[in-house]
Amino acid sequence: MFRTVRSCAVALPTRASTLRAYHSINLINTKPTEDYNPKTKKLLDAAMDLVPSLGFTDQALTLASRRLGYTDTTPLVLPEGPLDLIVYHLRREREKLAVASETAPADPPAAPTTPDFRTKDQRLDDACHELIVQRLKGNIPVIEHLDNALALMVQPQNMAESLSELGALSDEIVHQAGHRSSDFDWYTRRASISAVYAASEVYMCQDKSKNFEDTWKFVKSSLEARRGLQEGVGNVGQWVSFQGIASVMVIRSLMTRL
Amino acid sequence: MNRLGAAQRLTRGLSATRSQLHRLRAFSTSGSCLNDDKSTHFGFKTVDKDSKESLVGQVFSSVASKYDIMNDVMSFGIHRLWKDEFVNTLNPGRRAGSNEQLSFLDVAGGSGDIAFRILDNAKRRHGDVSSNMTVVDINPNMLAEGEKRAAAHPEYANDPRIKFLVQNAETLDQIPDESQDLYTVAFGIRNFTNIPKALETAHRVLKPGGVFACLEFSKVDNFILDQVYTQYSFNVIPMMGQIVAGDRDSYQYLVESIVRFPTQEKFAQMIQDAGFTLAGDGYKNLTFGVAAVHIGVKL
Repeated sequence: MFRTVRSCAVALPTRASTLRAYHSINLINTKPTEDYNPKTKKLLDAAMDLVPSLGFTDQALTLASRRLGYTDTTPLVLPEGPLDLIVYHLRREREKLAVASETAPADPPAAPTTPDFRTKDQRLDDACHELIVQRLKGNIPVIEHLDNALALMVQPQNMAESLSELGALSDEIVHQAGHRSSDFDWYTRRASISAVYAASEVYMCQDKSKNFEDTWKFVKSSLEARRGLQEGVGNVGQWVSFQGIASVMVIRSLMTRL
Repeated sequence: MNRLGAAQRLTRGLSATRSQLHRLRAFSTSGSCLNDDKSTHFGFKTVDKDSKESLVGQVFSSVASKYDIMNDVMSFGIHRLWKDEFVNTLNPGRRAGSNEQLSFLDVAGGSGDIAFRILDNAKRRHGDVSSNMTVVDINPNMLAEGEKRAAAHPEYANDPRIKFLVQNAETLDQIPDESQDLYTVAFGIRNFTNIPKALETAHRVLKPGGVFACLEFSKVDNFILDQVYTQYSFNVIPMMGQIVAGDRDSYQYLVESIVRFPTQEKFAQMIQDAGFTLAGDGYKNLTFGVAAVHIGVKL
């Protein structure tokens, strides 16, 4: 089913796709909930309204069916039951990120009062941080049931689905943060965002601090740690290439003297 | 000598299958010209629409008494697992927090196999002992088998919740509109003369949100297994029909009707065309696609 969802995205090149250089719109659908059957979507939305109290459960689906005037057998339209509900939650929240960026005020930001000394990479990291926090805030209404959802998602038979959703999310975040390069950084950045997001989500389940302050701090420190690692790798690479070139030069100079 | 005889028989069997396959291919390419108003399929034969019903009737009247034992012999008992899995997937039964009785309708359910399983599931998993079951079958002989079994059943003997009716699935004239929560049909729909009409009727009798669920033989999704399965069904099943039930032709028909039945994707499309919303892809394969469960919901 999800394969068809993605192929739909390929078949429908939108205006946005021409604007979004390097955004993998061919792989990931940015409006994932639009691919649901409208009536199924209505049922899922009704069930999501009940999730804060009932959790990602069959009960939420049954009660939502009854509220829409359907019967107790209706949730069969979602063959995976609670997992379908969780995946719908993930897609709806991801879509909210995309919609928020598209509807953001287009007027240019006010001239900065202090000059911006951040490097391009730092700016990107800050934007990623903001987007991860924004996405995690989408979990607050269902936070009590998030641990159950995560437990279901990491079951072996559901891993592929969960990882593909995580990949789609980090793609969305990195793209919206303004990342446009298509070099190897494309992979490392998405990988580190995925790792930070997944870890932060688990952290958030346990977080008892006021307004999830600790989680936001955790996101920041994790991103910084990743950044340090990335810089470290970059520095080592630079050192190796310098030494390599130097060695070639030394050998060359020895050869010419002979 | 014996071995030679066996070899000859095997070759004959293989060539018979090959010729059957040739006929099949001929039919599948000219399939569209069969869809006129007057004719339909009866196995690999093309027959008048009016006569299919009576031909199928003859088959099932003839196999009714041996129906169960033949199913066990032909499928090595796997049909029981399929039926269990079917009902398990549907998980029928009234959920907590409602007093409304559900209405289950089992079509072509003469043997009662699915009906008893549904009621068992409702009771065991949901504590639901008030929902109703209507078993309908076009064939009075098959329905009589089910009634006999219900009468002998420790739990469902004289249970007013179970009703048996002789009904044509294409019309279901005694079932009111929007009256059923769940419509099941297990290993029956391929025998219907007009499947789209039966699907429309299913849509008519179901309540909003009601579920159409079908368990039927389907297409094996693995090429090698498909070869084995074809050999088995064309050579072994009619022979076992001959030995166990003394009726080769009826089982020859059953095998041919399985091959004639549309693929998973095509049947899912037919369900959708009747107005149902498919659950996911609309089907789930059992045993590599030897059988498949199709689910459509009237949203």
